[in-house]
Amino acid sequence: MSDPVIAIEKLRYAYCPGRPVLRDLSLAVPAGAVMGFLGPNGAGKTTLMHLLNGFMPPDAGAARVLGREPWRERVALQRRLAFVPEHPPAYPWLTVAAFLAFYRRACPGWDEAAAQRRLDEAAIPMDQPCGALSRGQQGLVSLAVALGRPAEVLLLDDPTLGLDVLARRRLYTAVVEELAARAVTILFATHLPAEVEGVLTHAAFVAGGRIVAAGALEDLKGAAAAAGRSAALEDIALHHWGGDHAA
Amino acid sequence: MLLKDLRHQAWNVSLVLVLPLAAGIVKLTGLRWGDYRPADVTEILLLLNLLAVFPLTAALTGFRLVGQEHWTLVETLPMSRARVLGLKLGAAALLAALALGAVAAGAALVQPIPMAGWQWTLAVLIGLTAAWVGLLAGLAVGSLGSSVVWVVLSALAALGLAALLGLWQALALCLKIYSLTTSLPLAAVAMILTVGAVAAQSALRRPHRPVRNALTAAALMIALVLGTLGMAAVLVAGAFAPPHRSEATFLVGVQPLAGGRLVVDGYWHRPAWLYGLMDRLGFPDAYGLKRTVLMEPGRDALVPLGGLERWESATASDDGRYVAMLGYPGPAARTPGLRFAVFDTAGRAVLRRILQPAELDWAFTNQLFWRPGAAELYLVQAGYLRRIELPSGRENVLPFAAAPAAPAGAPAIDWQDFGFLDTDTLCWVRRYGPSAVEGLVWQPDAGRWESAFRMEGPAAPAGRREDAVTFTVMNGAFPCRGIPFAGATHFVARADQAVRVLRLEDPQAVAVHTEAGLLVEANGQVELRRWTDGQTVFRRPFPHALSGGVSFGDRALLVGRPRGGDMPADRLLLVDLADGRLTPLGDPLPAGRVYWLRGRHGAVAQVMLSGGETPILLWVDIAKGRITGSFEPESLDSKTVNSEQ
Amino acid sequence: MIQITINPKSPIPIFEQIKERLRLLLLGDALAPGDQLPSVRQLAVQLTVNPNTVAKVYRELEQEGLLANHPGKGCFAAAPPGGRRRDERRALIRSEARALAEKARAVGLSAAELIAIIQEEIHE
Repeated sequence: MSDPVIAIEKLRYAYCPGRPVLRDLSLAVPAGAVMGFLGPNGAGKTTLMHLLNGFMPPDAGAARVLGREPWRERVALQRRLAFVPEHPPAYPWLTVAAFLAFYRRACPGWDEAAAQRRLDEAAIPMDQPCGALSRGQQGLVSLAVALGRPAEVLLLDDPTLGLDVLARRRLYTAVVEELAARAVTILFATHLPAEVEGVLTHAAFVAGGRIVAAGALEDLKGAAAAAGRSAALEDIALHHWGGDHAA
Repeated sequence: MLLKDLRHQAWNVSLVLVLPLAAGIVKLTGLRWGDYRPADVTEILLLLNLLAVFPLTAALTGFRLVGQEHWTLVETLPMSRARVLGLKLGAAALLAALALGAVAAGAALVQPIPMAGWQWTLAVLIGLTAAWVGLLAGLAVGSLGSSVVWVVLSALAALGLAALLGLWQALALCLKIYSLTTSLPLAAVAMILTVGAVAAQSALRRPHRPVRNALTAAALMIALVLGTLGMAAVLVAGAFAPPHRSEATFLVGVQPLAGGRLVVDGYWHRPAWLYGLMDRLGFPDAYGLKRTVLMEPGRDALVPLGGLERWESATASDDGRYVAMLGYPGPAARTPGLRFAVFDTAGRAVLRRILQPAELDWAFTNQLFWRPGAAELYLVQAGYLRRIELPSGRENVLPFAAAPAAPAGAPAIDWQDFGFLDTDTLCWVRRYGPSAVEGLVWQPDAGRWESAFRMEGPAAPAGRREDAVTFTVMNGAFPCRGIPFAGATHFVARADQAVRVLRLEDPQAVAVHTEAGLLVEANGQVELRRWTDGQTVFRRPFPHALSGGVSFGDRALLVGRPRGGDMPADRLLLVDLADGRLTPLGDPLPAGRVYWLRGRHGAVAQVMLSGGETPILLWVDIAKGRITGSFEPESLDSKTVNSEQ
Repeated sequence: MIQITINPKSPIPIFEQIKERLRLLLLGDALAPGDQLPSVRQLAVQLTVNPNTVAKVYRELEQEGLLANHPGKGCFAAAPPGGRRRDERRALIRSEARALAEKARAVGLSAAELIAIIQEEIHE
C-alpha cells in the first residue's frame, strides 16, 4: 500500500475565530484515485482546496500533498499540482492567447500543445479577451490551462458551476481523456454527483466541516446496497449529509 | 508577470498628461484667471501636476498592481511570493518613473517650470514612496475605498504618535539644519522602510482575512512613519554630537581657560566628499554649523558649549575658570533674543539668560568683561553695568546715572569704554566729541562714579586723524587701547596709587600696555615710557613692525611683523622691560604664516600660528622665556616641549 | 455503434454493468468476430467513465476469450474455440431461467403457467 498522494490529518480552519469551517478533517487520497469530494454548499470544499494549494496555513492539523506541506513548500508543490477553481480566474483584458503565453512563461514543463488541443476542441477563439468569453468558455479555458501544466495531482473545485450541459460534458470528456493519457490523481469537488459518478474511483462526503464517509466507490455503493438503500451516489450523498452518519 | 502588469497599468500614466494638456490649451488660447496671466496659470497647473497628481497617480498605480491582482491565480504559479513581490515593486518603480517622465515631458512641451535638479530628485523620491505605499494599501484590503480609509486612519495614528513623541520637530530640524544632500540618508531610510513594510505585509497577509490584513498594514504604516522620523531624530542628535578627530572644527578662534582647557570656536567640518557632491549639485553650503567647544589638549573628547546657539563672543575670566559668551539663537530656537551664558571649565552652564538687544548698550565695544584676578563678570547693559559674582551668582548694578553730569555745553558722548586699570579700579572713559575726555572711577562704598582725570581739547580741533594707534585688547584689562583725542592717543594706567595718562602723538606708532610702562614702537625703535612720569626707561632699535604684545612681571612677549627686506617673516620676541634686551623666540616663520596673540594666563601666553594647513596654538612661558608646548586644535594633537629652545 | 446504458441507481457496480452489457454484445450477433471495438479511451469518453474501469472490463473479457487486444492495432471481438460460444449462451440463459423460475414460484405460478407465458412471449 503506497503512501497516499494527499494525506490530510485533523485539519482545522476558521475564517472568523470561533466559527471553524473545517473541523478535524481527515482524508487520504491514494495514488491514481479519482476522488469525488461531495458536500453541500458552504461545507468547506473550497476552503480545503485553498489549504491544499498552500494559499494559507491551517489553524491546526496537517496536510501533505505529494509528501510536501502546501503552505511551506508551495512553490515546489505547484510545479506538480494543477488547480481549477470555482470561479475561473483570468485577467479580463488579456486575450486567450496571451493568457496561455503568461502560463507558458510562468510554468516550467508547460505543454502548449495539450492546452491548445483542449481549446481547439471547444472551439474557443484565441484572440478574444478573456472577459468577453461566456461563462462556459471561461471554465474550459481554466481547465485547459490546468491541463497544460505538468501536474501529478489535479484539484478541481466545482468546475461545472454555472456551466451549461454541453460545457459540462466537454469538461468531463476532457477529464476522462486526461485520465486515459497519464497517471494523475484527482480530487474533484462537486455538487452534481450523478454526472461524475462514472469517472470516480473514490468518494468522500463532507458535512459540518468533517468527513463523514470516505472510501472506494465500490465499497460505498456496496454498503448502501447491503443496507437496502439506493446505491446511486447522489442518494448515498444525501443519506450522509442528512444527519445520521453511519460509520 | 511584469509585462502583463506594465501593459495593464501603463495607461495610468495618461492621468499625468491631463493637466499639461489643459496647460497647453491655456497657453495657446491665452486664457487668464483673475490677476494671473496665462503663463502663471500654466505654471500653476504644471506644478500642481507634479506635486499632487503625480504622487497620487503613483499611489493609485501601486494600489492597482496588487489590489487588482488575481492572488488565487498567482499563488498557483510555481513562483515564490518574494519573486512576485519583487516583480510588483519593480513594476511600481518603473511605472512611477514613467509617470515622472510624462510629467517632465508635459512640462517641457508646454512651458518649463522653475525647478532645480534637487527638486526633481525630491519628486522622484516622493513618487517612489507613494507607489510603494499604494502597494501596501493594496495588499491590505482589496477595495480602493477601504484602502483610502485605512491609509488615512493609520497615517493619523502615526502622526499623532509622532507628535506625542516630539519626532516632528526632529524632522523639521533636519530639514532646517541639513541641506537636502545631507537629508538624503533620511530619504533613503524612508524608502527602505517602505519596501520593508510592503514585503512584511506581503508575507503576513492572509486571504479571506481583510480585517487582519488592514490592521497589519496599519501597524506597518505607523512603524514606517515613526521609523523615518526616528531616523531624523538620530540625524539631528548627530548634529549635536561633538565632532571627533577626523571631523574636527574649522578653527576660527581659541581662548585659553584654566587647567589647560581651551575654548575653541569654529565650524563643524563636513566630510570632503560631501562638499564635492554639494558643489556638483550646486548647493551653497560651504560651512556647517558653528560650534563652540571646550577641548583639552591630549584628550579626545570635546565638550560642546550650549546647544545650537551661535556664540559670537567668548571672554574667559582672568583665572580661566569661567568663560562668558554672548550669541544668537540657533536654528531650533523658539524664543527670540540674544543668548547669554557663562560656562565653567567642565562645560556646565553656570548662568544662562536670554537678553533682548535693547537691553544691551551697543555703543560700547565690549559688552562683556571680567575683573582681573577675580571671577566677577560685567555686562554692559542699557543704562547700567551689571556685575555678576561667580559662582554665587550674586548680582548688583552700577548705574550710569550715578556719575557727574556732563560739562555744560559739551557735545554728545561719541566714544566710551569700560575696563579695569588694576584689580580694584574700574574705569569708565567718556569722550565728548573734540572738546573733552573724562575718566571716571567706580567707588563701591559711595556707590557712584567719581572723576579720575579730565582732558580738555584744543579750542580749534586739529583736524588730524585720531585713529592711528593700534592696540592689543587682553582679557578686559583696560584700557590697553588708546583713547583717541585731540590729535593724539592717550593711554591710561594706574601706577603709584594714582591714575596716570600718557600721550602718544605719532600716528604711526604702535603701543603695548605693560605694568611698568607703555612700550612704544616707532621709527624702527622700541622704547619704554614709565607711567609715573612718562620718562623713557630704554630705547632700542627694533627691526620688526610691532603687531602686539603681552607682559608679565618684568618681561613682555611681542609679535613682530615683517619690516622691509631684512626681516621678511613674523617673529616672536621676548623683551626684558628693565633694559630692553630683545630675545627672539622660536624660528623665523615661512612666508604666509603669521603669529597672533591669543591670551595670557599667569605667565603663559597663547600664540596662534596660522596660515598653514591647520592653525597651531603655542604656549609661551614669559617668565621662563621659552615655548613650552604646542597644540593643533583641528587634530587634537598636542606636544609639550621640555627642553630649552 | 455500441450502445451501453449505465443505471446509476442499480446496486450493480458500474464495472459489472459495462462488463455484462459488453459480454451480451459479444456473445450475440451485434459484434461478429473480428469486428473492432472502440478503444479504452473512446469508450470511457463515450460513457463518461473512468478509463481504468473500461480497461479492467476489456482485460477480464480478454481473459474470458471474448475479445483480443492487439497492441498498436486495437481491440477486436474474438472467436472463442468451437462451440464455446454456444455453451456460454446457454449458461447465460440458464441463469436467467433459474431466476425466472424462482420468481414464478414466489408469486405462486405453476410451472405450466410459466411455460405458457414463455411460449407466448417467444411467439410475439
